[in-house]
Amino acid sequence: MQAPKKEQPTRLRDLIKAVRACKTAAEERAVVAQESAEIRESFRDETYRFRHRSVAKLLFIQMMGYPTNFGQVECLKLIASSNYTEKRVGYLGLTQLLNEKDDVLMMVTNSMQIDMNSSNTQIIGMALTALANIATAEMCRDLSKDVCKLMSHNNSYIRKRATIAGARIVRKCPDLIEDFQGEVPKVLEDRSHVVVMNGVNLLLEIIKIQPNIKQAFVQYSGLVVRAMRNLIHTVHSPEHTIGGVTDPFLQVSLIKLMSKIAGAEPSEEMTDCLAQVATNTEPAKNAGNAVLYECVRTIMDISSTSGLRVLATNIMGRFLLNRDNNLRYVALNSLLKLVKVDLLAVQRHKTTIIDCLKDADIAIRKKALELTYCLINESNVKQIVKEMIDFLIAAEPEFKEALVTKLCLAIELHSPTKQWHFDSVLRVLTLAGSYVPEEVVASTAHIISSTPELQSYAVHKLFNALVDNTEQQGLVLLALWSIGEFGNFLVSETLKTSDGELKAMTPNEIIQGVEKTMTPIAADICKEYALTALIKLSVRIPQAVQSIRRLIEQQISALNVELQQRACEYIQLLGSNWDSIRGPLLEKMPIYAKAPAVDIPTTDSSSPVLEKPKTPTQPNSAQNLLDIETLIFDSQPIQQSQIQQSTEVPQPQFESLLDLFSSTPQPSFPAPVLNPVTGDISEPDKFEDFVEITPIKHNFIAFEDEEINVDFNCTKPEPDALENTQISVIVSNKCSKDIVGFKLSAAVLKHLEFSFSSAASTSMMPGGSIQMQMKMKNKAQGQKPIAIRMKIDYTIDSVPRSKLSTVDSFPPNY
Amino acid sequence: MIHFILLISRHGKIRLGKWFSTYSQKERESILKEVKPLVIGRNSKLCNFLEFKEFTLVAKRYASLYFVFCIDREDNELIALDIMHFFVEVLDKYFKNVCELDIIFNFHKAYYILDEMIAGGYMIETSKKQVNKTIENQDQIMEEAREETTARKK
Repeated sequence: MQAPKKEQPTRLRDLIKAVRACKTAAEERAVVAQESAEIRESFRDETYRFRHRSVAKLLFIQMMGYPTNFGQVECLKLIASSNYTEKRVGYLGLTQLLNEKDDVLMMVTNSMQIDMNSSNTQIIGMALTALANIATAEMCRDLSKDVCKLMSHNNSYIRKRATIAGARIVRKCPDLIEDFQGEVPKVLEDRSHVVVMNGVNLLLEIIKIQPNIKQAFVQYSGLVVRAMRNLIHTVHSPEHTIGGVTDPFLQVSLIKLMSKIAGAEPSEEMTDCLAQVATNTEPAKNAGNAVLYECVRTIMDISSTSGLRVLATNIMGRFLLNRDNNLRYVALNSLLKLVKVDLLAVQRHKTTIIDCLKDADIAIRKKALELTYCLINESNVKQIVKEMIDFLIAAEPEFKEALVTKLCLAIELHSPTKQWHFDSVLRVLTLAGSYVPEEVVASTAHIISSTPELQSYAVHKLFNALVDNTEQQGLVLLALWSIGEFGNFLVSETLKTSDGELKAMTPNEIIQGVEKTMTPIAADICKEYALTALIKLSVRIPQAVQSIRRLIEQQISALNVELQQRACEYIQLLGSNWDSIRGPLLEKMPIYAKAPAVDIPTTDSSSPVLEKPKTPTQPNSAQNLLDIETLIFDSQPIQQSQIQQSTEVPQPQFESLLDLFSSTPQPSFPAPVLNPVTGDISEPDKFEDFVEITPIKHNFIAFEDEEINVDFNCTKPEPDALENTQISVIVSNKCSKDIVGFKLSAAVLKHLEFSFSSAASTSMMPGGSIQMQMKMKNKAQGQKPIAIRMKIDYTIDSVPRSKLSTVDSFPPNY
Repeated sequence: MIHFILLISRHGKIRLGKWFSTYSQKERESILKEVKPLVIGRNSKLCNFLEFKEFTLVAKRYASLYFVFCIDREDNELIALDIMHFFVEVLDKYFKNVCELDIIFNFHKAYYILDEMIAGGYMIETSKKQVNKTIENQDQIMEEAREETTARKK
């Protein structure tokens, strides 16, 4: 007999069947909507007897992804009921339909408290589980006393749940840690080792939140070790044995705890215990391996003996050779941690790690790549880079990028010779030029420009590579730049190298090569570089001026404004009235400051070389940089620095950067100076009819040593009063100690006026900084440069320090 | 700790979803959207661990269901696999050769079982026997309660 719908609502089973029978999403939505409406209707009835069924149906509806907020309050009603089934469904609904952010949750606190004080263990258990899963911070605070009490309940079922509820309370309200701290020792010694496991997890949670509490628990390390020993020596209890290991879950927790409470020196019994576990655990099944893995992690975290470390590395070595991917992944992960501490141990497994680069799993490949990178040093760099380049050929795009970045970094940091450096980078560029970061292109350009012997070879090779590969952007940019700078070598020389002859090209061939990069579909930036290269070539290879002019003229009507501008300006430059200046204007770039290689590629302001050649990057003033008569400080032995220069094109003579503080390691501003400075400095400037572009913003490092770093960020706030400069001085603390009493005093030449605003504080934490503002007025702006003599005083560890330095790397017309 | 546990069918339907960390409904949906393509259709030869945001996902396929556990980066991944297996074995014992249909029609029972072994993001019971015993106990209480209400109705 079919009961009317109001008396017998659809059973859960029937609802599920109905939904599964739907053929389309629209049908499903209709069924769900109807059911939701009926459920909502039924909730209005206060004496409804099948509330739990409705909530169960709501659970199903929610799992399918439909909104069920109207059922939240019903869960509360069910929880308050005394019927076991209803209560159970109520708690389930609570944890599923609500989350911590819902306000309705607060209202259940009272019911939970009543349930926690009930005499029925099942009901207490339900309340505790719900608290552990979903309680808010306020609920935790209200109920923490009850939970604490229950941790000493005589039923282990309750004890274990109360303990894990404690873990949540402690996470949400860290100030309640003291309440639970007292209970922990009792729980650690509990006779039921499931409770012990929960206790361990509670303690781990406490330590995670408040790490300095570790000290209080070091005394329990003996207890933990003993518990561990008992586990290992237990005659197998089939109830807890998994994969031949007695209760691996508890073992893992205990070992983890050992790593946290080992203290400065792990006790001998702990070391013995770890050694025992490491040697005796069965590695056949995953459970055993999990325990071994945790053991290895702990050994690496605590300051263990070398014997233990060897044991750990061997276990990881075995994991690496295992066919199971999970083990290899886990091994690579731990070796990555180990390599920072003990490089040699990991070196032994180098071959296996490199083999992992070939693995089918991309996660393993990525880890192997990182590990290989850490292993590279001067002696094995050639071999490893060769292997990495081989993998690059076969790698797929998402892996290529990571591989290329690491490759380039490795090449840069460890290359034995410049030639090899260039060759490797060229190979990488040909294979994956579009993934190569800009910094690498810039630094390779720097290498070429600073190594004259390499220039001819480089430009030949780059040209040949360019002809075949016009799509790889990195390669194209570098090649175009070199052709522009050193195109004359291409025409004049035929090089003999170990792999054959690099022939000299005819001007036409060169121009054709460049033309290839200027196709309509080429990237705009390639065309920009090409234009610049062409104009430089007009000086290097004058025979080809006609074709150069033709190519540049094509870009006069380019859509990109930058291209148009360049093309128009260059065409102007090709005009005969500029003949005398074109040569010196377009001569080779001077060697510029190179950004040091860093692991995380950052854009550095010192790579202007690949821009228009018009902006000089070195001050080339003709005046006395520091007129000794006007200085108020004493001169000291002068530092000289010489850099090789190419002799074909006359280079401008630069002033020496007078450094009166000889023990400061200079920032890497190369000073291509040939003359020792004796007193007055005056060298004729060869470029007096040059119109110099005065940079407006100028940021540089004024002074740097191991302890502090002083940055000057200069701007011209008033464009019509260019004699005024605003300098923002940022002093950073590079060392690991606090700096106090910092004071900066400055002195300047007579033609300068300045004022200082004081800093906000005079002390810096490690890594901290102080900022102050300086206003400089250069009454002889345009004729005399800015130079400042700085005196820096500060105290570290009550030892005062005083440093002197001269800052004169301001551009001349600033 | 375990942040969430998901059981996903081959077609992307959620058969079980337990969240131990706080996520709003919207956040849950977006996480699901990200996790599903990572896990479904993954080659079984690959390792079971995936990097996901600041967590590690442990994913394993049992028959037609993907089990996904989300744990902290610094947790032991291998033991998470064991926890997963433990759960499957308990389900298997309870439902007598469990299959996806069992989970679909008895999801509430699956949740109860899960509550017995994992709470607050940690594993709280390591004995399969214990878990099964407790569940059977609870079932019995439910039966008695039901009989009681039907008797009262009469």
